[in-house]
Amino acid sequence: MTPNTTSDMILGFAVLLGILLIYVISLAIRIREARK
Amino acid sequence: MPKKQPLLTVLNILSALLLTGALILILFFTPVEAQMGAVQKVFYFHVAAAWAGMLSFVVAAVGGILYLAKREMRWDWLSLASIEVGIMFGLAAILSGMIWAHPIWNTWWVWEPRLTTTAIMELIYLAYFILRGALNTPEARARLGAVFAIVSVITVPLTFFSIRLYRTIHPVVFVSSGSTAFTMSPKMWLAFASSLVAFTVLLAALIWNRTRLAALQAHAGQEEN
Repeated sequence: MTPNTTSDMILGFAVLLGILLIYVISLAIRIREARK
Repeated sequence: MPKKQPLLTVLNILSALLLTGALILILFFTPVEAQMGAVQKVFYFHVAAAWAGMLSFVVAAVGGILYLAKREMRWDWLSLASIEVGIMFGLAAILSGMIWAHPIWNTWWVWEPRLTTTAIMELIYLAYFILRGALNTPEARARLGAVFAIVSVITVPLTFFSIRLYRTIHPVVFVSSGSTAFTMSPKMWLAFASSLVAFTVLLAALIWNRTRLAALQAHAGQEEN
């Protein structure tokens, strides 16, 4: 029987995409600061 | 002030679209793997993030070589940008791998060759920023940073080939046989290829943006690492 690992999948994508999002936001903020 | 090039805007939008497209493919069009269940779908972005991280470190080494050859600061900025972005992708790959491992291996972490070499690679590249922080002039940071980027790139093939050289429980994708070989259906391959393309374009966009930040900081006379 296939195990139910849906919550693990959601956590995996949330963490991975969350790291990407935090980095993109930090980059955008730093670029904005440097342009001032 | 260095201006934002239109191609960078195109690349930013393209990377967001490709990433969204790959995510839709993974979530709605790939089959649920029978042994592992839905958590196997993390694999597509996990491998793509690891690939982007390793490629980033290779780009950093190329930037280091070009800096030492030409002594132009833009190559140092490329190297710096690639390492910062590479560490971020490496962290994303490690954490998503741990989340996959928890239900599949029944543990978050195992000191097996792939995980160990990845952790070493990540820590070595983190040390790059400690080195730069300890140096006073941009020239010293660029020169020693370039040497560091060139020498430490040896960890990339070591990490990539670790699962092929040593006995390991980590799945191997690009092989047709063996106990840890992971075979995929055509739909799975499509999602996997889409993820690789999306993350490669995203990598290019992020490195370009981070290089631009370094150029802006240098132009403004701000201290950067």
